[in-house]
Amino acid sequence: MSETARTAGTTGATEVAGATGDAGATGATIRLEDLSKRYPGNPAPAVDGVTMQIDAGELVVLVGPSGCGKSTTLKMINRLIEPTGGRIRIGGEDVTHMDPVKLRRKIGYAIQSSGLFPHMTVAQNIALVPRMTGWSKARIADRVEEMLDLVGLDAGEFHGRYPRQLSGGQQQRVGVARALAADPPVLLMDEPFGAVDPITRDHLQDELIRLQHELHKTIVFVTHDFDEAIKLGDRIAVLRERSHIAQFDTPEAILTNPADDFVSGFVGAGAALKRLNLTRVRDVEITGYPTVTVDDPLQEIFNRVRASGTNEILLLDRHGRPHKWLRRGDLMRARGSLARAGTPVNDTVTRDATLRDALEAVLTDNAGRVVVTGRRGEYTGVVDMETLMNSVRELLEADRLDAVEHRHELEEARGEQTRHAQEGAARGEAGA
Amino acid sequence: MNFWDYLGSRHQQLLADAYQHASAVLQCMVVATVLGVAIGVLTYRSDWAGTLATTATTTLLTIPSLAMIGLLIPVVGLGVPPTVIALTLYGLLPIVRNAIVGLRGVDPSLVDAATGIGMSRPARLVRVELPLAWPPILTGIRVSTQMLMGIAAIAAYASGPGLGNEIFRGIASLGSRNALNQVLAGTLGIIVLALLFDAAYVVVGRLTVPRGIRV
Repeated sequence: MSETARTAGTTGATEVAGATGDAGATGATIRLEDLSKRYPGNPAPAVDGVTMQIDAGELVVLVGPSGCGKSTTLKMINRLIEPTGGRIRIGGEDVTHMDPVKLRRKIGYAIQSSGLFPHMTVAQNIALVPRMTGWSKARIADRVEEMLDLVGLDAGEFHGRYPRQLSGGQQQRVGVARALAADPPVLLMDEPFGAVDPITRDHLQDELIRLQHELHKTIVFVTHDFDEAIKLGDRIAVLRERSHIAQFDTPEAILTNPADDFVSGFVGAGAALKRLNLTRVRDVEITGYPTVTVDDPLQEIFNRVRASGTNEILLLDRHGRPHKWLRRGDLMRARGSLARAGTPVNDTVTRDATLRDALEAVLTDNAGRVVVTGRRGEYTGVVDMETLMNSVRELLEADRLDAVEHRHELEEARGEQTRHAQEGAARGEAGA
Repeated sequence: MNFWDYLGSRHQQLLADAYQHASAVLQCMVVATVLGVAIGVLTYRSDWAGTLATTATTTLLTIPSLAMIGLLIPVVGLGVPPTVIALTLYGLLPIVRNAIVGLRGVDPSLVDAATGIGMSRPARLVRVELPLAWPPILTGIRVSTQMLMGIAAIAAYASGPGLGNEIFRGIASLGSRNALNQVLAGTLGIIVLALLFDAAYVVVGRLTVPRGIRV
């Protein structure tokens, strides 16, 4: 490697970092302008005119069915696949025609099944990019430790291991560490968690969210798993064939208001369940329940149960926190003391919990209801199966109405445009 | 004179021949390895070039070694030159083929990863592809060496160096007292050399195959 290439590489990286450093983000904006890829001998382009802006520090997920060109689009950003048309700008700089080797050293790249080189140790793998960009040995050694620490692996233990001595999840962590080693402003991830088991994948996703909170890189993430997209993405681009953007929006907007049948088809049959993740308990109706406190005399409790017409009553402790469920039968057997009567309240949800958590709690409760608590754990109400079902039905109905209205607006706007165009044309003819 | 007496009385001559034999094979193997890996590196990327290289070297191997040396004598004369040329050409085939197979067998996702993290083509070849393709290439070199041990014996026909001289001398004087001993000494010598070389390759493999991919 020549000395000039080295210095050019490092100054390039600092320029990009410096350009966005003022905003407090370490990421860089990526702009794709009418980006296309055509393979010779194939009349239909593989990627057809993608235009999108990915803001600095944002995690954007490209999601779509296999073969829709999402990976191709990603690989055009670091020019592993050379675009045949359009431009790529990173941090304002046009990189469409710069030296691809220099470009790639400023862009982290993590792929499925980690892509670690099996003949190098973990440390050697992580050190690759810093070594190529000409860092000093001491700095590289420090950096390797720092990166292992960052991805949650013990540096002393994993430093000298070979990739085949690691589990799939550990390999993937090292892969991410390698991608981030030279501190690139941009990170591209091509289905990085596609080859690990579901539990590990969940962990890795949580780790990535944590990392992104610390680092604020600009991340472009490709997956075909819509749930992964919802979990990770600040924004999601749903792509159809030839990388046409069907919808590019926040996860909430895509779930509640899919742009068309393709998107709603891709969101899938689980939309109602996924929707539960985006709604909080405080957004739904919480029913009141007859309650008594531990200080109330037994006779009073009896009366309340009889008066309420329900079979059960909730016993609160002195701080107003849910304590026990009391059935009529429990009261009969209580014989003057409530110390042993009733079933303790095991599971509660807060008003900030997602409806999905609430549903989980309701499903595992043998009476099908869960107590909702306030900030200090005090009783605020109860959510049961019926309430949940009703609210979900209402939510979905509202979403549907929103979507219809949205479509209506779009059609009106389109109608308006055509009318304008026609009038313009008519006026033009009249003028002639 | 029995075989052991023969060995005792001629051991100096035999050792000299064995040394020359080993040295010729070793030097030709070095040249063949360099050429073979180079050909592999130049051709593995393209379908037709790879096939061409493999077919060409296979065709070379089908020429009988005696005929090949015979054909070379009028062009380069007697002695060392025809021996070296013939041995190098024969040594190419397994190396070229294993180099191509090995380089093509490197996991494409690793090549993709190497390019993606900013390795230039030469860096990728030296740091990733060749180390990963090294075990099959080494196997090719081993097979090649075994083959050349035998073929080098034919070189004596062109007054080349090596243990082949013993064998040819024995064959030329069939019926004489030492004929059988000579042929036997040459043949056994070649077998012992081949085994020694093979043992050396095991050591070389231990030393050069990276620990992470050792089986």
